[in-house]
Formats: sequence, C-alpha cells, structure tokens
Amino acid sequence: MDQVHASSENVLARLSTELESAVERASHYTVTVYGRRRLPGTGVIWSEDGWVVTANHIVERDEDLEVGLPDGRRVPATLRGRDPGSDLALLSIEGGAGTPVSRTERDARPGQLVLAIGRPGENGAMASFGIVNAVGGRRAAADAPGESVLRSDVAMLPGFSGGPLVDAEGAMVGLNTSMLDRSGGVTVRNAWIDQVVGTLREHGKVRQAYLGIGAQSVALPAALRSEGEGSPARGLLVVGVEPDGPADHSGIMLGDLVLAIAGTPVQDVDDLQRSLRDHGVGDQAALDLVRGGERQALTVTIGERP
Amino acid sequence: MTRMVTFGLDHVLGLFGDTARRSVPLILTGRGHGSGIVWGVDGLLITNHHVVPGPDATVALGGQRMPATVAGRSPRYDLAALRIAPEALAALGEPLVPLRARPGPPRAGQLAIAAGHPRNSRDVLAIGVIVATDHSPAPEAGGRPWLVQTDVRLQPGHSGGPLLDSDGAVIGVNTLVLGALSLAVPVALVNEFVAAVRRGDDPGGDGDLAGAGRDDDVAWL
Repeated sequence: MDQVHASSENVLARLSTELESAVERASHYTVTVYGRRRLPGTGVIWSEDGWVVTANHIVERDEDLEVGLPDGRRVPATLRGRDPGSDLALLSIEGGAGTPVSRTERDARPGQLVLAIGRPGENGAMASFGIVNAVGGRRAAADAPGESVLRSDVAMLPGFSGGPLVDAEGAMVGLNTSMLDRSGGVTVRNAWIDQVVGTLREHGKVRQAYLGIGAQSVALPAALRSEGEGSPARGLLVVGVEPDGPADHSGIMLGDLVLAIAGTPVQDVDDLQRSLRDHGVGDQAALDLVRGGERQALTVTIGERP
Repeated sequence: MTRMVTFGLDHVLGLFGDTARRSVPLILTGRGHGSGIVWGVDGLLITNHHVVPGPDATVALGGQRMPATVAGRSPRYDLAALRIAPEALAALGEPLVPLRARPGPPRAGQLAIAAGHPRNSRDVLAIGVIVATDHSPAPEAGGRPWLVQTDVRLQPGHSGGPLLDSDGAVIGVNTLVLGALSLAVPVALVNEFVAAVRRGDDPGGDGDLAGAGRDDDVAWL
C-alpha cells in the first residue's frame, strides 16, 4: 500500500475527507426524536425558529415528545401536525434550535453520491453511504408533487428514519423513511417536505381530497368499451358509499360504474387517487358513469378526508 | 522537487487490489475458509478466532500455499494469530508485505474498504463508510461497543480480513454482520493482542465474542 500512502493526492483520501466533512456538517442540523418506546428516531431542524421535521411513523405518541439537540441538550417538543401520506411529522421546540438545515441547490440525479445521516440516541451522528438509484418513481401518496421521492442504496440503519439524505457537501436532498415502501428506504424530497410543512403549519394536518366511496376495478362489458386500441377496458364499481360523505351528497349510488373523472378514465383505485390529487378540497369535478345500463354525467364536490 | 501526481480513482482502487493480493491471505482449514492480514515480516498473520477452530491452517498468498500454526487466540475479541512455518517463509522468495495500522479511531463518514476472499471469489474489495465515530455503539451492537461499525456489505469469507482506510491502513478486522451493519474489531485491540502474543502471554481473556448473542439476525462471516 506504500504507493497509495505516498500519493498525497490520493483521490480516495480526498473523497474520504469530503464525506467525513459532509457528515460533520449535516450533524449540526440532525437531531434525535424521542417519540416511541423503542429506539428513538432522527429529525431535521427545518427552521431557525425551532421547527423540526421527522418521520411520522417514529412519533408514536402525541405528547411527552423530546428532541435531542446536537449540543447534547434534550428539550421538550410539541407535535404540530402529521401527514401519513408523506410519512412526515412536524414538531416545534421552544427557544429556537440552533443551526437549521442547509439544503442542496442541485437537482438530484441517479449516480450522485449521497449519505444517510442518523442520530438515534446520544452517541453522535451516524452515516451510511451510497448513490441515488432513481429519482421519482411510484408515488407514495395521491397528493404528492411529481418526482416527490427518490431511491438510493444507502443502508437505512435502525433509527435512521426521519433523518436527512445529504449530498457530498452535507446539504440535504430529502428526508429518509423506511415506511413508504416495503422494499427499503425512500427519500421524501425537499419540495414535497416544503409543501407538507406549509400545510401543516397552516392547518395542523394535510387536507386530502376525498370522495367517500368504496370502489373496485372491474372489466367493462363489451358494450361499454369504446372502439380502438388503448381505450379503457376497466372501470370502477362503487361498492360502498359513506353516508353523508361528499359522494353521497353529490348523488353517487351503490352499483354505479365510474368511467372517468373530469374526462380522464379511471380504471383502478390508483387512477382515482391520481385524479383526486389534481383536485383541491371543495373543487367540483364531472363524473362519467353508468347507472342501470345507461351512461350518465354527474358533478361531485370533492370533500376532505376526515 | 516533489512531483505531485493526481491518481485517478480506478488507479487507486487498483492499488487496493494489489494490497489484497500481497497482504491479505486466504486462510483454509478443514472447516472452511476465511481471510487474514499479513501483520509482520516474520510471518505473523491476523485473522478471526472463529476462522481457525483448530491448531493449524493452510495459508494461500501470492499463488503459494503454506502451512501455519496458531500462535495465540482471543475468543473474547474474536482474534487469532497465525505463524507461517519458517521453512515455508524462507521458500517464499519475496519478503512479506505487512499492512500498516491506522493510528487513532476512524470518524463517521470516512471511506472504509474491506479486502478479502468471500465465498469462492478471490481478492474482493467492498467499499462503504464508517457509520459512527469512535465507540458510538449502534443499539443492536449492544454488548459489543468496541466494534467498528461500517455499512460495507460483507459476505461469508471476508471474516478475518482487513477493513482499510483510504490510505490502505488497517482500521480493523472484519468480523460479523448485523443486518445492514458490518462490524470490525478495531486495530487498537489488534495491536494489544499482537503485543501479548509476541510477549508470549495468553491473550485469551474471558468471554467469547464469537459465541456471544448468536441472534437470528447475526451472520458470522
């Protein structure tokens, strides 16, 4: 190894030093979140005035929450809101929190070097290393913005949920959670966090568009299919209508077969969720449906998920 | 005049490949195989206690196979010292190239490179980072706080081989895997162990790391 040692410009040594510095930088805004009986999780100081973002699933109780700061202090925290759809929770701590997060200014790209930072306890920041595998992909929630998540091959070690994924400069790319996908860790990107935090600060929870129907995907009878390739082969059969819910108020009935919302075919429940995402709570939307063998059009007012 | 040369990443990783071939022996026993570390020009090698259950082993290095005997072991720290038979060492032709010990504990985020001979492969390098600075124990490393934690993905057969820093110095001895975490015996303990072996002390100690807490999620390499 003498050759390596002799080369002071060893690129690997430089990379190693940079990664170590990145962990050091990120450790200043990475905190411990005590919100469950088992192993604590990790959180990120989101703003100077003491807002902390973490993963919703590690905040198992609503009260008696604490945040462990990088300087070793352990302070009480208040739950300000939760959004299970993005697995984000917002906490606040009194008297400010010190160094807030530094955010990446670059667009995440596959192949980019990243580190997952965790602080699941009092023994300092921890890190694992990898590359971004994919940006975007399957939506975790109906109201998520495009390319709202990314995937990487960093090891999601126990207690890393709620911690930041950072670039080689230690700037945050997104928030790691093991909850949104069973196949491993997913990172909620900063843009989605902004959106959720904005709503949580305003309403305490995220308003999710809601119809109040139970539905299942069924094959359309030949008579209802349009001509031509690529035309919808399935629709959504309404198998439940929540009494007094938005769909009930708009006149949707059990047994209705929904073909499209606002002109866009809905062939399965994912389509329905995507369609709801495009609408805000209180919006009106035109529904194409089949009732008793007859095509009908109906206007629904989108409600809010209770 | 010192000439500054900037080596490319592939060149530097190539040097690590040379290190693996020169200084990371394959250890063969009747019970399986593992990896080792050339520690002294006198033929002293380090590996895991659990790699060499018996009094001797065969060492493969640089295309040659040599008999070796166990010169000391510490079940507590899962370390064993092997000594290559003097006549085999003399017949080797070239002197052994020992690895250097890294001074001081590693820090979270530093690159870590494991060299070894997993499964049926030879001279395999795996790269990752140090997970925690110094002796910050991962919760699931409970009871073994002295181990160095990395996210390097180790496989069976890496056991006993070196975890190297970016300069090729030994951070620790790759020993076991706990879920996504790989654990190595820190080089400071190896130094103490080697000192005891060279003094002729019994470095055994009590307790048995290799037998401690064989949980379902613990994979011994």
